[in-house]
Amino acid sequence: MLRYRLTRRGVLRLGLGSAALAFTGRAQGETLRVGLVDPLSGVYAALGRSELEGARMAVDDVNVRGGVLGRRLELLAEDSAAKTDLGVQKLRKLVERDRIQFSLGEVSSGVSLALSQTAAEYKMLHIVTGGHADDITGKSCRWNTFRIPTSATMEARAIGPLLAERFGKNWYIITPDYAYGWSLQEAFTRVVERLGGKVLGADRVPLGTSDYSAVLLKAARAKPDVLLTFQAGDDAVAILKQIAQFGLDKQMAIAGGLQEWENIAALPKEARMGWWTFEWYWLQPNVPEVKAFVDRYRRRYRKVPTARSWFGYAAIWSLALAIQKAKSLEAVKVAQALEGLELPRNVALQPGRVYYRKEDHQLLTGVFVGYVRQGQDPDDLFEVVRVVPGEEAAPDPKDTGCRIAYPG
Amino acid sequence: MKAKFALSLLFLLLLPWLLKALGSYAALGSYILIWGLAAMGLNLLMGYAGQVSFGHAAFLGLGAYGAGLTLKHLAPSTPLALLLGTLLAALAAFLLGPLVVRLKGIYFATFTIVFSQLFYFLAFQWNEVTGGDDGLRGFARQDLHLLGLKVDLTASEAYYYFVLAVFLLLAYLLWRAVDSPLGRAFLALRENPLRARFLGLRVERYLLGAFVLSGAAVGAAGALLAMLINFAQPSMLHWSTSGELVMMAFLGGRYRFFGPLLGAALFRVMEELLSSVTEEWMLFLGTLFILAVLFFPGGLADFLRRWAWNRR
Amino acid sequence: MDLFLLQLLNGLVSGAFYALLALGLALILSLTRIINLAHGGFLVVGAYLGYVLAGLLGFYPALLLAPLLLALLGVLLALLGVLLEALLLRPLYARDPLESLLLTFGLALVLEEAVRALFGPVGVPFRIPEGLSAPLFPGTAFFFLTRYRVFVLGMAALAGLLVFLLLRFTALGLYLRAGAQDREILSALGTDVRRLYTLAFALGVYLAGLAGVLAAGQLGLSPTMGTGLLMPSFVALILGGVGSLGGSYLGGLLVGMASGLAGQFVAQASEFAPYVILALVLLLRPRGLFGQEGFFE
Repeated sequence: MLRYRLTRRGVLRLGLGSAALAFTGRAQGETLRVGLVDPLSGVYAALGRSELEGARMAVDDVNVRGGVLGRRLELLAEDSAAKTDLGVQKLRKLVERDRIQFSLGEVSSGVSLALSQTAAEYKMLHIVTGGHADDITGKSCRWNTFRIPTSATMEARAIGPLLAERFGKNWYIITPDYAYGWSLQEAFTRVVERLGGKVLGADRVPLGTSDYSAVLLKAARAKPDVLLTFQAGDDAVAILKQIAQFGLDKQMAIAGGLQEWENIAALPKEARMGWWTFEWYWLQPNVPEVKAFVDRYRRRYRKVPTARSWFGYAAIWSLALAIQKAKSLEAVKVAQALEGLELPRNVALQPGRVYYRKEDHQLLTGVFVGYVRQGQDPDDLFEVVRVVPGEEAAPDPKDTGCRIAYPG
Repeated sequence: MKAKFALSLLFLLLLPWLLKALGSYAALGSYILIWGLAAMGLNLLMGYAGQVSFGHAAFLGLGAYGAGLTLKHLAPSTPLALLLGTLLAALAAFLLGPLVVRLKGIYFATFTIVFSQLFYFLAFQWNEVTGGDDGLRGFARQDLHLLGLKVDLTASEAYYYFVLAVFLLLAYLLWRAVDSPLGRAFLALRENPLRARFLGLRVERYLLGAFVLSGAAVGAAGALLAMLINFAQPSMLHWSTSGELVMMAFLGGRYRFFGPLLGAALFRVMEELLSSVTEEWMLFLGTLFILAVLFFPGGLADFLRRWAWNRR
Repeated sequence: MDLFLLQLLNGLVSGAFYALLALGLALILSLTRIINLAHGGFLVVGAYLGYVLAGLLGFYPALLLAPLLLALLGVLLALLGVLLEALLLRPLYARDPLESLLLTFGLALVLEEAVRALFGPVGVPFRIPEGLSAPLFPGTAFFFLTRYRVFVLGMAALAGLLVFLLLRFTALGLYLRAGAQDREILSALGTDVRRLYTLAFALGVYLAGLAGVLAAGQLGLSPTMGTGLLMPSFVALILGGVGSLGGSYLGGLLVGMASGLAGQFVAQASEFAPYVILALVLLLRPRGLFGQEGFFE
C-alpha cells in the first residue's frame, strides 16, 4: 500500500495543480513517476547510461500507446556514482521530494540491495536493472524486488556445460576478490564438479589490480583446459591484455561468466577474445522484432543497444504491463501481477519464453553464450552460439534460499 | 557572540523546512551535521594538535559497523547502537594510539593510511560479519523510548532532530575539551612540540588523548551515518573518505572550532548541487581545495571572520 | 624452473615501475622537502599524453619511435612540471611540509579528474608497437618475459643509470646532491636554490611520465592507474630510506618482488603486501634501509 502523506503543502499543490489544469489543459497530478538510480558518472557510467537510454525509449513507447491506466509515464533519473550512501540518499530524495511511485536501479549489486531495502521501507516496488549477485533473488529477496539481469549461478549453469564439452574439464579460476567474485567461483566450481571435472586452482585477486603476471604465471603452470576469468571493467581489460601478451590464449581456452559489449569495445583488438555469456545481444537475425528495436535505438542514440539498454527498456515495460494487469498502482497488487508475467516478444526481444518467476522474482531471461570475434558490422563483436533458455539456466528455486513474504 | 549562537541554533532548528523550501530534502541536513561532526573530530587532531591523519575514515567505518551490528544482532535500540559504535571506534583509537603517536609528520600520515586500509580490508573481506563488498544491511534505526514516550525516528525530519541533539551534545563536549588546559596542551603540541616537551608536557600522552577523542567523535558520526541510510559499507573506511574529511576540515577552517562544520556543509552542498550538473564536480572542489591551501589557510571560517571584521 | 624463482624474476620486472616512481619521488623529496602525493597524477597525465602523441605520430618501428616519444613526452612533462611548480609550489617552500602534503593531495585529485573529464572514466586502449608485443620465450616457463616487459626493465635500468651518472659526474649533479644535503648552506653560498628545486622537480616528474607511458603499454590506460602504482612507490620510498635515492630505487624493486611473491602464495594479499611492509618499516626502522638521519625527525 502506498503511503501518501497528506500535508498542507500537498493540499496546496493539489489545489494549484487543479487550477493550472484549468489553464493549461494538461493534468499535473496525473503522471506516473518512476525513479531510476544508476551510476551516471564514474567507472560504471557507460553501463548506467545505457540502462537510462533504454528506459527512456520505453517511456516514450509506452506514452505513445496512451500511457499506463490513462496516465503519462515520467522517468526521473539520479546519479549514484555506484556508491551506496549516495544511491540511498538519491532514492530518498526521489521519494520524498519528487514523489516517485516505483523505482529502478542499479548497476552495482551492493547498491541494488540497499535500494531494494530502502524501497521496501517506503513499501514501494523496485526492479533491479543491473545487479547480478545471487543474493538479490536469493537470501536477500523481497516481496517488492524483481530482478531482470541473470544471476551468477545462471551464468555458470549456462556456459559451463558448453565449455566442458568443447575444451575439457580441468579449469583454473581467477576471480576478483569480493562477494560477487566469490559467488561466481562457487557457482562455476559446482557446475564443473557436477560434470565430473576439476578446478585445478583458484586465485582471488584484489579489485583494481593492474598487474596479473604473478597469478597468470601460477595459472599457466597448472596447465588447465580452460582459464576462467571473472574480472570486470578495467580489470578485465588489464587481464585480457596480459593474457594476449603472454600468448596464453594459444595454450588454453579463455572464458568466463558475464561479459558486456561496453567492456569488449574498450579492449584493444589483440585482447578481444574468449567465451562468455551475454544477457542480450543486438544482432539476432532470427527474431524480427529485434531489428526494428535496434534500428530505432541506433537512429536515436547513434550506437547499438547493449544488454544494459535492454534492461532499462524491459524494466519500464514490465512495470507498465504489470500495472495494466493489476489495474492498480498499489505496490503489492502490482508485485503480484508481475509474478508470472510473460514479456511479449517485442519487449523480450529474444527467442523463447521470458517471464518473472514467482518463487524468487527472477526474470527467466535467456543467456546468450558465445565467443568474441569481429563480425561484418564494426559493432558486431560477439558470435552467439546458443541462447540458453532462462528456465534451463536458473537454479531450482528451492536452492536459492529465497523466501518471499508479503507484508501483512 | 550570544546572538550569533542563538541565531545559528535557530537556523539549525529550522533547517529541514528551509531545505525543503529550497527544493531540497530534509535528510541532507542530517548528512551535513554528521559529516560536520566527523570533520570536527578530525580537526581536534589536525587543527588543534597539528597532525594530519589520512586514516580517520577507519573510525567512521567502525562507528557505522558497530552501530549496524548492534542493531542487527544485539538489541533494537538506537541509543545503544550509537554508544557501542562510538566505543568501538574509541577502543580502536586507544589500541592503535601508542603505535601511532611514536611517529611524527610524514610517517604519522603514512601510517594512518596503512591502518585505515587495514580496516577497509577487514570490512571488505570478512563477509560473514560485515557483508563484504555489498555492505552491512538488514538493520534500521529504531524508535526512541523517552520517559514513557515513543518517538518514531523513521521520518527524515524526526531523525534530523535526533542527529542535531547528538551533534550539539558532542560539540559541547568537544568544546569543553578544547577550551581547557587539555586544549591548551594540544595547541602547544601543534605550535612547537619540542618546546612543549621541554616545558614538561608528556607529548605522547597528550597526542594519544587527542587521538582517542577525535576517534570517538568520528565514530559517533559514523554510527549516526549508518542509521541515516540504514546501511554500512567498506567505502566508508577507505582512505579517500579520510581525504574528504581532511578537505572538509581544511576548507571550512581548521583554526576555528566550527570551521569544519562549515567545510562539511560546503563540501556536501557542492556535491549535491554540482553532481546533477556535471560529473567533474570533484575537479572543481579539488581546485578550490588547492586554492584554499595556498591562499586561504584559515579556510572559509577565517575568510568570513575577516570579511565581517573589515566591514565594521 | 622453480616457481618461486620465476615469481621473483617476475616481481623484479613489475618492480621496475615502482623503482622509477620511487626515484622520482625521492628526487623531489630530498631537495624540495615536498611529499608529492600528486606523483601518481603526473604518471596518469604522462600516460595519456603518450596516448595522444602515439595517435598523432603514427606507427613506426618500435625501437625508433618509442624512445623518441618518451623523450618528447618527458620534455613536455618537465615543462608542465616547471610551470606548475613555479605557480603552485614555490610559495610553499617556506611553509610547513605537511601543507605541501595537502596541496599535492589536492593536485592529485585535480589531475585525475582533469584526465577523466577529457578522456572519460573508462580506460582507453593503448597500442604498443608490433615489434614489442610478442613474448620472447613463448610456451616456456619464461613466457611472462615479453619483449615489452624486458624493454620496460631496460628503460628503467637506463633511467636509473643516467640519473646516477648525472648526480655523480656532472656539476649539476653536484649541486643537486649538495642541495639535498643542506640547502641552507648552499643557498648561503650564493646558489640559486630555487632553480635547483625546479630542476629536481622537473626531473622527478619526467620519471613519472616515463613510468606512465611504459605502464600504459603493459597495464592499460585509465584515470585510476596512478593510485594503484603510487602507494607501493611510497612504500618503496620509505623502505629504501627517506633521503636515499639509490635506496628508493632498490626499494621499488624489492616491493615489486614482495608483491609478486605474496601473489604466489596468497593472491589476495598481493595488494596488501606493500602496506604490511610499510607498517613494519615504520614501526621497526622508520629510517628505512639507507635512510639519513634528520629527515623529518
